[in-house]
Amino acid sequence: MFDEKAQLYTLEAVAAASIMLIVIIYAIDATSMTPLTASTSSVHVEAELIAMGQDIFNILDYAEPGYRSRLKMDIAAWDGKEYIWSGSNYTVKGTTNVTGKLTNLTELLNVTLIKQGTAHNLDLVFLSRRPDNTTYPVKVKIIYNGDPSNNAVIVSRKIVLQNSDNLNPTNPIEDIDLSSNFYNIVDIKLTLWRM
Amino acid sequence: MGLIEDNDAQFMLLAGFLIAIGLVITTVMLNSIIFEGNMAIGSVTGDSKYEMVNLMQITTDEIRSAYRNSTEKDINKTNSTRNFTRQVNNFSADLPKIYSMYGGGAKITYENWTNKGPANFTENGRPGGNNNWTVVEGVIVKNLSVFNFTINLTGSIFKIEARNPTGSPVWSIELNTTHYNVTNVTNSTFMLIPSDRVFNLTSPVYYFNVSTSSYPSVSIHIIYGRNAFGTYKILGLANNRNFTRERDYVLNTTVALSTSKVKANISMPVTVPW
Repeated sequence: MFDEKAQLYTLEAVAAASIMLIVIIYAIDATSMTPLTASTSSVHVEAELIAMGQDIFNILDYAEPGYRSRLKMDIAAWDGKEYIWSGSNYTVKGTTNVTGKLTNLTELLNVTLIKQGTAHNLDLVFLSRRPDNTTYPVKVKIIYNGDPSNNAVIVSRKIVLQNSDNLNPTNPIEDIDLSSNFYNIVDIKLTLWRM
Repeated sequence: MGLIEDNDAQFMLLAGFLIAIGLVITTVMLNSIIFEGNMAIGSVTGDSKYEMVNLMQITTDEIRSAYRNSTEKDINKTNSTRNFTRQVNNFSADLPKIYSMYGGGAKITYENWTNKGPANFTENGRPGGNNNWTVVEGVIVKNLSVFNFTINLTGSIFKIEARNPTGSPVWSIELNTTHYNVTNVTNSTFMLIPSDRVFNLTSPVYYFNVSTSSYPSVSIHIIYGRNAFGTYKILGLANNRNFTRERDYVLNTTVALSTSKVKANISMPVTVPW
């Protein structure tokens, strides 16, 4: 038996079901959109922040033969204190003392991230020596401006320090190899996020 | 007039409607797939390339530092290679601990200069490297403190040339298998190559200073670098900054990086000491 009406009703039902499905999916997507929800634009913002962070490290970590990079000089000169952005300067946490040791880093962060209103933290991961001479990674803060948001990105740069880099005596990075000029490996991590 | 019941027309309309919905859904899905695919590829290639370059850089830094430190400390080749190996081994053992914090891995393999000849005079120090290249530009001749070459020929001709700021040659030394020929703007000197093959080019016998000191600065070039191997050391002032250009050997090194996104092995020549 060939029933055209039944076919028509079936097709109408399929169309109605498709429309209902689309409406439900759209409603779920729309209601879950909050300011922190990842979207096409936030992915692009993250990509831009990563590119900016990498550029900052590329600029700071360049050195001609016979010279040390500005990044290495700053890390070697660091006094072990934690710094925060106080609105006009990077100051030692809990004081009004302005940093005089991280000059190259803070100068560049000031004209790039601060000017754009990009929040940032700077952490160091380096190796520490146990009494049995084995080593393990340790993380410390250099610049801390609060907990990052869900859209934060992390860019890292590794450098190698030598005994001849003459670290600041109050610098917590220790010499993990007493038998040679090799001093430590440091991973500098820049966390960036939009406020 | 009553409503005309036309089932065929209703079928056609409904079918058209369904096809339109299908097209919309397909377009949206395709867009999402292409976007996610591009983002995934972009993040893997971009970040991994950056990580890889960083690993190559710190490995190069460490090998050069170990070479300089060991050769400055001890001129005896056995002792200096032992010190070099100890330092790079310690670096190599600690390197994976930094990467392992993020679920990655890194490994380096390297060689020392025992049983190894000096580098070629090409740009990267390898036999197939760039033949004609600029060693340094903007050299202020009166502040040039060291300008030494040790040269062994493998081809018929090798040349070191100084050019003035406009790019014209003002001095050169050209070597063949037995003799060298120093040429400046006024004359030419033809002499036997010294037996130790060492050329201290700031020495008056090579006429470098007298030929070039009237210019505000000169650039130093190597021509036919593939035809010779040896070492060089040039120290001085260029563009108002102290500079160092020095090369003894090319050490073959391999770095391997392993992350959740990518695994890569790269072989690279590391020139030492700089």
